[in-house]
Parts: sequence; structure tokens; C-alpha cells
Amino acid sequence: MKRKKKINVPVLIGSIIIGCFVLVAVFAPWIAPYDPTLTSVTTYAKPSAEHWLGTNDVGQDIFSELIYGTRISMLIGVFAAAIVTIIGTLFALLSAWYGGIVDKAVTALTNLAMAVPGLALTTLLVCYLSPGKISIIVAISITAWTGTARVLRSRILALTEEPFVKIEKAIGQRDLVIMGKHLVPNLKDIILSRGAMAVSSAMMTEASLSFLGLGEFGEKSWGAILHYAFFRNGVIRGFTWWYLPPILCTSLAVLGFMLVGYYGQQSR
Amino acid sequence: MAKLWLKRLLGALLTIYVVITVSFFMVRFMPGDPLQHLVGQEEYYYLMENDPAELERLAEKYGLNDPVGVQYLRYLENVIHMDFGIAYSNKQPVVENVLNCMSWTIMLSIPTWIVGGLLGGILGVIAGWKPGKLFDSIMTPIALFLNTVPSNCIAILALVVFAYNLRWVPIGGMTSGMTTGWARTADILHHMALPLSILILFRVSGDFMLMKSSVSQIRREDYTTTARAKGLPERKVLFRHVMKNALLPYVTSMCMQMGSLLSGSMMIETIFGWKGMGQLFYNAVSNRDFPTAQLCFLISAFCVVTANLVSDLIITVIDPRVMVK
Amino acid sequence: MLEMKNVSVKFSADSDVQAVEDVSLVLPAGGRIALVGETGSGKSVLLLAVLRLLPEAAQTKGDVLLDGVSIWKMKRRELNRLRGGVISYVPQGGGGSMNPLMKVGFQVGEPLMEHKGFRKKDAVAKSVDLLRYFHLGSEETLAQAYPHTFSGGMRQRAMIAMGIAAGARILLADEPSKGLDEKRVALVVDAFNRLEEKSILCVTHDLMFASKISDHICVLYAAQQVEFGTTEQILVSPLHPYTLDMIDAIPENGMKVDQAGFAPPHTGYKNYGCRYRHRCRYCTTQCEKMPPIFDVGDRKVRCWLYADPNRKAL
Repeated sequence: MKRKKKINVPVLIGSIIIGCFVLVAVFAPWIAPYDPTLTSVTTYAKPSAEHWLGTNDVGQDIFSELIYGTRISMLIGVFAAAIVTIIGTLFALLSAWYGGIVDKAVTALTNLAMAVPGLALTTLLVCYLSPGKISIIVAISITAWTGTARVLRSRILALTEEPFVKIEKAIGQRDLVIMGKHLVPNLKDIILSRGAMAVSSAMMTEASLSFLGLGEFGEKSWGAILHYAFFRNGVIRGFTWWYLPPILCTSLAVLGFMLVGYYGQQSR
Repeated sequence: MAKLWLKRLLGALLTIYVVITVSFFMVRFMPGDPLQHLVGQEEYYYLMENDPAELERLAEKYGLNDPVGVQYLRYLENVIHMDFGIAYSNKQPVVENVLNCMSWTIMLSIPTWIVGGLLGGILGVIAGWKPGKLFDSIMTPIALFLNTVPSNCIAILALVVFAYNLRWVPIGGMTSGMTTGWARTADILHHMALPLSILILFRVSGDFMLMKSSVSQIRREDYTTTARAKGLPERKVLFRHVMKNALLPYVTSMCMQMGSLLSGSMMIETIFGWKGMGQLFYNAVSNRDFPTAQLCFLISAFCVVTANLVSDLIITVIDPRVMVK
Repeated sequence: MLEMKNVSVKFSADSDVQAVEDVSLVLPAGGRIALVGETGSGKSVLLLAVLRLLPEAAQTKGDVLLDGVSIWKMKRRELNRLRGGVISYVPQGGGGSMNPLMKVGFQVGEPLMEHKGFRKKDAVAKSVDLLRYFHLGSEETLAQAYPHTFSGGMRQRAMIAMGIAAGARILLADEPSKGLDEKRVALVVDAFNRLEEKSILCVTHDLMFASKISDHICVLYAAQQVEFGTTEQILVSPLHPYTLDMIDAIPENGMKVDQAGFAPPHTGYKNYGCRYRHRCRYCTTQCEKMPPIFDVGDRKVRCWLYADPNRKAL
């Protein structure tokens, strides 16, 4: 059918936002005017030509912190989301394709993981593990894969009824080949869109955790900047340039991934 | 019916058991000395430097030198007796601290649950019944935005605007103290106005999206067309046919939210200095007060599992299709 | 008498994809017309359009008249009185056609409550009689059961019962034989034959089924009418090449035409000419222009072959 290809505006906007942040993250050392860990005597400075967004309680340049923070926030978000999506997809493939006892076991595991309160377990884990990037990623991934696994499982079950899969199965094609050739390509869109959603929720969790001071010490993610702004009285004293930028960055980045995920799924 | 319910009940009990067990082994298998997780980090390092004998005595007391099996059984026994040890923040039994905070959390969470559920549901029905119309196209982006922005961001902004700049509400805490009776009630209400409004705002937007999507999906179902074809007026199509089906997922989600009534919102409570379960958990985690953190986790897990069970049972009552499977 | 006048349906204002294009059809009192066509030919859309059951986004042109009164210009209230009371839409009895949370008895009896002022109890009691009329078996129990416990054939017959519950005299049935095996199709055919003096407009993709329940057949292809005639004329001496291909594709006729050749038709472009020409074995250069509808005796056909009035059937 001939049809004008409509541009999905929300997805486009989301992609542009994500693209900008990726560029900032990659070229952070060239963009940032200062070393974000460099302390100085000019503390609590207002925005000026020298320090675009002022300085914080120990005289670090907030603009540079923000630029480098993009790296950490994006890194954790994308890594955690990748793990979540991969685990979810693998479990979905296992349970939907092999059925029987494997399916039962995976479903039980999914139900169990869904029954555990996610943020509470994540927080508890971060607390037991030594705080840091890796433990945050592990803690985020440990319960977040359930949604993806559920959605994909039902999709795969529907796909196995399709003639092209049945034929391959009937002629004794190897499972791995069918999965690689038919299942995964057919699920590509939904996996990507679930992945984008996973990034947005992982970034949100990361922002919450580092805001609560559970991130790695000295690692300046956006959540951590906000943590210091709030707990070192930046908010009370009305230092807009300190607490507002990390809020805006977090919201914007989460919004970007959300737009791609939510509207990308809807377009079909 | 009874058989199905029994199965669900057993499933829930099993889940709780697994959670309790996981929580036990989490302490034992985490990197570092388990004793450190039991007495707290600061205390542990203090004792290690000054009084290693005391540390050894504590290890004996907690039975850390016993085989893991024995420890595990003792742990289960303690859980059943609700004995979770002493919190080292104030040297009170952990359980007492927790019960204290719970009432403050409930004060915020129950109104949020009720108002958010009703308002979000009603608005969601209106938007979902006429998708693409004015109300929907205004509400949906707002709700989507609120669902997107991290709650601490909005909370901080609200704090700046309403507490610092406009001075409508106090900056934090739960009471100003010194008052009794009605004055105290009014004072508490004044203090909870902002955190409660923010919690409700978030809950309404979440529930709105849920209800909207289920109503707008069900109005496209074949049986809605069937109902229209019978000559039913729109009002009856909506209330008799669409609503009943749209309420199914909504009830499930309301039950799930019920599971979080006791655990509180860590973020909102921390920002507004509300001494509820969320802040207790947060403080426990940041001070490495493991016994308290563990109990908070167990409570929220228990609530979620119970809520799950309740929603399962309600669904078996209202959805005839469940019984076949 | 139900009259469709130049009915066209589009699903969005800016697209040039027509779901139904300029269809005119008359269903006389007591008449039985089958609308035959493949998936995507617009036949179900046409049926929904009669009672304005299409989604709001759909754009319609033309008019539908009941005994000379326009249904499409009717006020909401009058329309509701018509729906189920005079004209019933009988959906395809798939799993989603009945409300899963309500007992079948209530759903079958609901038109009675709406149009005849029945109380709920009486309506359910009457629905048992209705179900019995179509031989569903152990009707008392079935009326208290939920739709998911029904088989497709049972659901279809319950839907027909629902359609006639409030005494409608015109039934619009959507694919009543879809997804049913032969035995169950026979039961549905039996149910149709019990409808005696009612007028029926039935959408189906199955020519064999159409032949058992209709007196006239209207063939749709790619949103357009391509042929109209009595059931016997169509089956014995089809005029349009598409009709001929359809008849040849019936298994009983040895499947002379390969079903795989039946790709979904193009409906998306203007000035294409005859829409069937890329599949037609009689295609000539003339077919690059859209043929009008020619009258061949009392029959109608949209094909250049019949520009010559003396041309015989294929």
C-alpha cells in the first residue's frame, strides 16, 4: 500500500533530546571549562562569565559538574537498561519457546520478582553492597526486568503460532536459528521501545538513589549534584543556579527516553 | 473456587517465606563481615579498633559462629516473634520505632490512595471515553509529564515556591510543637498540606493514565459496538458495559497501591522532613542501621505480597474468565 | 425497505484510502442479500455504517434510508430506538463480541429491556425462549453462563437471538460463518432459515454460505461494487471476472484458481482504472480506465466486457 510516511513527532523530539545528551556525554572533556573535581576558594559563587552556573559549597564549577554528570547518569541509565532488556528478553524467549517446566519456573520467578518492592530492595542492596556505579546498576536491574519479560513472552507466544515459525519448526530447524532469524527480528521494535522506557526508569531510579546520597562518593551524577544542593542548604538559600540545572537535565533526559519509548510503542 | 483461593494463599505464603529467606542470606553473603551488617558500620569499626573482645562477644551473641543452618532457624524464630533487635540510632527495639513511624506514614498515604484513586479514575474515564477531544488533549500531556519528572524534582520546586517564597506552608516537619487538641490537629494539617498535595498530584496522574488507556481501549472492543447496536444510549454503554471491564485492571492496580500504604514515600518524606516509614528506611540505610532497614524492607514486601493476594482474590470474584484457567 | 445511496467511507480526512466507495444497494422487505468479498473489501465497514456504528474518525458520504427516512440524519434518540428495535446489527460471534463480565441471558435479553420496557428478570426469562428457538440446548443453564464458556457457533446463534429479541425486522449480520467448521455453519444456516419474514443483509467471504442464505448477492471488490444479481445468476453464470475467479476458488470446484493469487486489493490510488486488472485474465488496455456500472438485463456489473450490451456471461 502506498502511503506517505508520517513522521512520529514525539519520537523525533525524544531522539533529538537523547542525541544532544549523548553528544554532551561523549565530548564532556572538551565542553566543560573546568575539572569538576577541582575545588577552589570561590565558594557559593553566583553565575558569572567565569563560572556560567556559579560554584558550589567547595568551589567546584557547577556547569562542569553538570557536563560530566551527563556521562555518569547516561552511562548508568543505558547500562542498567541494557542489562534489564537482555535479561527480560532471554527469560521471555526461554519461557515462551520451551514452555512446560521452564515456562512455569520463569513465570514463578517473574511473579516473585514482581512481588518484591523494587525501590526498597534496590535501596537495601545499594546499602549492603558498597556504594558505587556497579552496585547501582546491579540493584536497578535485579527487579526491573519483569515488565519486559512479561510483554515479550506474550508476543513470542503469539509469534510461535505464525505459519513461518511453525514451518521452520516442522522442518526441524535449530531453535537458536529460529530465534535469531524470526523471533528477535520480529520483536525488534518492541524490544527497542521497552529498552528506551527502561533507560528512562533506570535514570529515574539512579537520580533518586544519588539524590538520597546512595551513589558513589565523589561521582557527580545529576542526582548527586541535587543531593548536595539540597542537603548543603543550596535550596534554602535560594541558589537557583545550583538546584535547577540538575532538575532540568534529569527531567529532560528522562522525558526524551520516555517519548521514544511511549510513542514508539503506540505508533503501531 | 476454594481450591483456587487456597492455591493463591499458599503462593503468597511461599513468596513471603522466600523474601524472608533472601533477606537472611543477603546479610550473610554480602561482601564484608556479617557482624558489620548486624551492629552497624560505625559501631563495628569502633569496636574493631578499641575492643576486639567485645566484637567477638557480639559475634557469639548473634550466633555468627554457629553453622549457617542453626543461624537460619534462629533467624526464622526471631521473625515469627517479631524480634528484630535494637536500633542503634536510639537504642529502642526496632519494632517500636517502626510502629511509631507507621502512623505518620498512614496519615499521608491513605488520603493519597483514596483521593488519587477516585480523582484519577474519574478524570481517566472522561478522557478515555472521548479520546482526542479537548479534555483528553489537555490532560494527557500533563499527566505524562508528571509521570516522567522524578518526584524529588517537583517536590524541591514546590518547596521553593510554596514554602520559601510564598510562605504558605511550613518548610518541613510535622508539627510546630507546643500545641494540643484542635490546634495541634490544625497544625499537623498545615504541615502535611504540601507533601500530601504533591503525593496526590503524582498519584492522580498515574491513575489517570491507567484508567484512560483502559477505557479508550475497551471502547474500541467489539462488545462495545454490540452494546451500541442494541440501541443503548451512550450513558448506558459507558456505565453498564465499558466501566465494568475498565475497572478490572484498575482494581488490580488500586490493590497494588494499597500494598505501599505502609512503606511510605522515601523521597517526599525525606524532602519534607516527615518522620514516616520512608524516612525511617532512608535514615536506616544512610546510617547503615541494618536491622531497621531489614525490617522496613520485610514490611513493605509483606504488604506488597498481601496486596497481590487481595487483588487476585477480588479478580476471581468479578472476572468469570479466571475460573476456567 | 432499506436503501443505501452512494455510500462512501474513509477512515481519515486526509488519506485517499477509501474503505467503501460509492455503493448503492436496496434491501426490500423480506429480501436477503449477501455482501460477498474478500478481507479488506469494505463489506463489514459498509454494514457498520448503516447504523452509524463506525468509529468517530470515519468520514462518510451518501445516505442510508429506511422506508424513505434518512438514518444518517436522524437524531440520536430516534437512532437508538431504531438500533436493535427495528434494525439489528448481528456481530461476528468471535470471542470479543459479547461482554465477558455479563451472563449471556442478560446480554441476549438486554434489547428487550431497552426497547420493550422489560424488567431484568423477565428479559432473562425471555432470552431462554429465544435461545431455545435456535436449539442451543440446555438453554436454562446457558442463559446463566458467561460468554467465554460458549463455542463460536453457540455465540453466533446467541447473537442472532439477541438481534431478533426486540422484534427487529431487518438484520445486518457480519460474517456469521467465519471461523466455524461445516457442522456449525449448518447450524447457523438453520438459524437464518428460522428467521422467516425478516430482511437480512449478510456480509460473508464464503460464497457457499451465501448461496444457502440469500436470494441476491452483491459482490464487493476493493471498496467497490463489482456485481449484483440473484444468487442463482451469480453462482451459475457470473459476469465479472472476479466473481468467476471466486467461484473457481471454492474447494468444491477443484480450486481452479490459486487462492495465493488473492493478494489484498489496492484501494489507495486514484486514476488506477479497473481495480481488478492486475489479477484479471480478461484484462485489456481499456481497463486502464475505471469502468462504470453496466446494466445487463436485471443485473449490474462493473466491467468493460459489458460495454457491449449483447455480451453473454463468462
